[in-house]
Amino acid sequence: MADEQFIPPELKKVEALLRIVALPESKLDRDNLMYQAGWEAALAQLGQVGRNDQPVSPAVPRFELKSERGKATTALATLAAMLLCLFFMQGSGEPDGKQGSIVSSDASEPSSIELVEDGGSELANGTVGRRNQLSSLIEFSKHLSTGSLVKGDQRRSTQRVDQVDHNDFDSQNVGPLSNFELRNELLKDAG
Amino acid sequence: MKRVEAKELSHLLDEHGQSLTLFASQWTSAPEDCVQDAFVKLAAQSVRPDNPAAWLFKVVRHRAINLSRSNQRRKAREEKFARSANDSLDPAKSLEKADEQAFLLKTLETLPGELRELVVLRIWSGLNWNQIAEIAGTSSSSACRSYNRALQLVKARMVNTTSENKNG
Repeated sequence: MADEQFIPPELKKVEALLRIVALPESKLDRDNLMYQAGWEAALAQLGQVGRNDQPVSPAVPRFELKSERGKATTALATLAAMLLCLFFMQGSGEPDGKQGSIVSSDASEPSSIELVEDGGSELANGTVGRRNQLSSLIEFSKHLSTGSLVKGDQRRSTQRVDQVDHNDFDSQNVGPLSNFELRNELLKDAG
Repeated sequence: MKRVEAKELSHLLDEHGQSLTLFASQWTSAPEDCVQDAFVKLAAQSVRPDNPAAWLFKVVRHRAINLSRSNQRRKAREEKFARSANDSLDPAKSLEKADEQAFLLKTLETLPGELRELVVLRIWSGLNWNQIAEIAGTSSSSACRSYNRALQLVKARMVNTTSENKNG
């Protein structure tokens, strides 16, 4: 065993005599010791050990000190959230209550076509679908004229034109439309 | 991270309280204060030491040595030690008590401090040689040699006292 060290046999007798000696009574105040130890352990757990061995009362939690500020912040945040909700509700309600028609301010420039709100009283329901198809065409023609289409956009736009053709035009006439042709179609439909 | 619990602290106090007090009394006249401080410090430790008993002996030793540096306490210790030494060196009193255990303890008090420290640690602390050597600030083999020398001194004083009693 690593702990064993050589002790002569004659000294082992002395050691044995010492081992049976009863130690003198300690004057330790057990209750006081355990009380102090418990107190220090509790303080150490709180991380608030006093420097001069004086008991330190636990600090008031911060949330209590800042309760007024917290309430005010909460109220402001709630108010802001309510205002935002109202704003978005108003914004989303507008398209439902209003209808518009397409009016060209300049016949030669499709890009200048704009929606004019007229409350929906002038147009019948059937014209709304046509208007949407036309606006798709206008958008497509804009892209064609600016030449900004990439392949993906082209594919999508072609698909859109195909859909329009199926719905509104003769399916046998489907084919690539020039900018000029599209404009003519548009002007014809717009009256 | 585990702390020393109250139950373990109580157990350590029961097991080592007396030996720690005896250990501290080598340097200070207020050994109980050192022992209490050590236990309180152990309770405040955020991490339990690997060997709380060895840790206690180390802290008690450190505190007792610091206390002994105070002039007032040193004076009181010297007075107390002188009284106990006179008592222990008085063979008549030893015979009157007819108490071999008390005689051995008093013989122990006459040993030089560094030797007595090793005897107390070895006999009553339950620590192994490595732990004793660490507390005493020496190697385990050196601590064992000093321990053997201390036992030889105790034996010699026992023999001397016995022969003096026979002659007297």
